[in-house]
Amino acid sequence: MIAVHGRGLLLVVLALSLLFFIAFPGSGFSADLRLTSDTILQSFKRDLPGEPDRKVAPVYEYLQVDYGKKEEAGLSFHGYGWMRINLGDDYFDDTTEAELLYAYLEYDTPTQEFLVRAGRFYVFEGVANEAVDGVYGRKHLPNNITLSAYAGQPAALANTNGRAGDYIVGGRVSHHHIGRYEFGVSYKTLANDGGNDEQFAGFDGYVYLPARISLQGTSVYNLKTDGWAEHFYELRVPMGPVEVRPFYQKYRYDDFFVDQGSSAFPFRFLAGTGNSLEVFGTEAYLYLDERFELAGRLKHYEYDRRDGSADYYSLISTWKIQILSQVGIELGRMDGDQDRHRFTLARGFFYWDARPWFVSGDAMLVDYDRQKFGKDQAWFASLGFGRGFLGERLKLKFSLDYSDDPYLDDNFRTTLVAHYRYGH
Amino acid sequence: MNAKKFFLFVLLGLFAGVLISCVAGNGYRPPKTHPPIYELGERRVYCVRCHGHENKEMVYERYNHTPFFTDNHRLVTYQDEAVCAMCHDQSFCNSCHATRVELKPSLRNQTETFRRTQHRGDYLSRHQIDGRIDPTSCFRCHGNPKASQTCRPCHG
Repeated sequence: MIAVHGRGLLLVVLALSLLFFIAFPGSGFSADLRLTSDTILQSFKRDLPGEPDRKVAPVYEYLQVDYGKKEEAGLSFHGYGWMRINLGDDYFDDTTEAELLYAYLEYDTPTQEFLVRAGRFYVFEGVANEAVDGVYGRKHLPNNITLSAYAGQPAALANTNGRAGDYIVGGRVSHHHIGRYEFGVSYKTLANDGGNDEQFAGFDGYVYLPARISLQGTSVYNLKTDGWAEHFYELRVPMGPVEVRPFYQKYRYDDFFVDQGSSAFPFRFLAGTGNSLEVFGTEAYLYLDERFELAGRLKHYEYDRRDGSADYYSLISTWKIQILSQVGIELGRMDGDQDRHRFTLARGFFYWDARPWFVSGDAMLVDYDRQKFGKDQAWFASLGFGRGFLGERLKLKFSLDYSDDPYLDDNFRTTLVAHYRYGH
Repeated sequence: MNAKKFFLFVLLGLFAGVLISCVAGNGYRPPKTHPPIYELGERRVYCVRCHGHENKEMVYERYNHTPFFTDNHRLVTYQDEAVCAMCHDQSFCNSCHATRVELKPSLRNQTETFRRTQHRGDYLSRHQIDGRIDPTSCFRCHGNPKASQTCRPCHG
């Protein structure tokens, strides 16, 4: 069964990858193997009841293994997962220590007309945002039609009373005309422990209009509750150096959220509230110079069964020196109906890429209109630096973070990352 | 318009599109990989800088990585993930969308300040407001039982 989770499987994947690499060092196998490893060592302190200043030192390993020719179609393998061990105390003992995020075989025909995946993979398509243990296929048909389908078990429900009776089936059919439009309809049904928890159908569309104006969006219908779960549409209107993007979203909680075991507990009760949320507003972008980026956004929130409304204003400005090197600021204001729903956010950041070295910085202040635990401000600052070795295949990164907020008093955290890439 | 009529309308539209495109030939398949962005010497990840607005293969400006692209990218991703896959492996998506990750994206990549990752700084305080204002945005990444393990200590 693919649905094994835990550090054991991750270790097996790692060991097999290294074994193959060692066994066939000069062969085509090693030429087609790519490894990406991130080893992250954190160190910080936590206050627990009766135990102040407990030192916590988790070590995370994120490992990605890819085998197959990257630029060519054909058979390939892709795996990715993470694991953690604690060098400090048992602060995290009650939580998962490893997770296999995906591991699948993929076959893509040379003409890329047909693609199939088998194993654990993610489907981000139409109404699906799922991790599936099963098979997925996508076929490009004549006349610009694309069909895709998947079937298997939802990986996210492996821990809810076992996997018996769990299944997920779905697919999407779409039609497009290059440079003009794309329309798709999609469907998903999901069962947990034998009970059918979710059935959604959706429409997604994009139309390119004259004067480079475009409209895109999606609507999702809940077939179980017989109601529209979501509408999200966005218009893009370029006007010289300015581009305006008005948008409209609507969510009906009874149809959007799921009150079954396939849903996380904090959201289940929302499915019975009868509330709906409308969000509308606009984004605006100013393109004066390729080095300078200015973007603003206004979002207005309206509720059907709740007093009051809210507005969020946001402004981001960035000065780009190179693709990564930049200096920027972000300002935001959440203006809710009550003091407890209001805050002002200010962030400044920079990244200076001077290969093989880099330096980065980040500072954020959130000012709350109402105090939480006797504080009305949250401060965060991070200073980092690093250096690449072996032609950037190995990169060491270090950061020192400071936090002082309603939950943390003068807290420091250090993070050391070893990022290693082989075969890329 | 009820839902059945709406989807019937959509299917008829798709059929009409098929008839129209019978003279238009088959669609474009993006290559498996895109040249590394860094080596191109550009300052921004704006596809139209190189590909322009002629839209011979696809509408490139849809994929321009604007400052708010992170917030709305699902509108393009859910239509053709193959375009995203030219530059991003699934592991990139898993920074946020995953069955279970312990480190929030900003902690996972703390020094990458150029990435507009969610929940920077003290989000523990701020999520109480964001969650009340718009819980649908939380649901997309924390909506399943495994992904919500970080919610359980307080929310049960």
